[in-house]
Amino acid sequence: MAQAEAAVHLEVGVLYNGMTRNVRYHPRELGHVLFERACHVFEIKPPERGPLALFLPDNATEVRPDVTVEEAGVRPDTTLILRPREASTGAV
Amino acid sequence: MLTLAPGVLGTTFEHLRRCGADERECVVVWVASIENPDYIDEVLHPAHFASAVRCDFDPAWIGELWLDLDHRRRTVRAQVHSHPGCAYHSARDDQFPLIHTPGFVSVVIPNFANGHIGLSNAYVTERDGDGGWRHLDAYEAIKEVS
Repeated sequence: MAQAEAAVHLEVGVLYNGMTRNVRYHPRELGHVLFERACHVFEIKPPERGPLALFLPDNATEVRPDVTVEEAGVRPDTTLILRPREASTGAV
Repeated sequence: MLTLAPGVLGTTFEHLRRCGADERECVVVWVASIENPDYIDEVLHPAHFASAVRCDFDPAWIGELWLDLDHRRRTVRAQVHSHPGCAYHSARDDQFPLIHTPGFVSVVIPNFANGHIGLSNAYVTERDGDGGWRHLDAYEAIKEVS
């Protein structure tokens, strides 16, 4: 039973800049693991990831990095949104 | 090299001038199709928060933009924002671009875009593969179709 559960890998879409990539995840892994994997898929380097976060399809609920993906509300075969958490961009 | 469809540069300056009103920075994004990403044929004026010295995208608007672009098979290729004085990429510009992937272009227009419509005084830079930025000659990086 435990072995079967460990083998469960699901897929979720991640949307960034108009492009959706499928990312595999395990429902019991932490949200930050899925976030790091999504950034890697889009070639976003670790130093650039700070302002970004994953959001559920409602574009308002952040996928919490400190709870499991399942507890954060991620469901397979849905599309998450990768975007900045807060307003911050250009300035002199 | 990015190619601008007729009207893109004029529309860009129009937004920067009207929204900035000679007292605030402003930003627009240049959009292309997924199939032909180097041909810019759309200018979007995002929801943003601005002052004389900064310009911040509304993060919820960004999520809505991603959904819209996905629906229309489009992608953002560059951001263009105005500065009150000279054009350069500030540390904050480096740190908080709209897009973080290699090849993304950022253009800064000086003097709240009140100069002539063109790129001769613009600062143009491109995201490199190491998470840094590479300064580009404006006319080697961007051409306008008349």
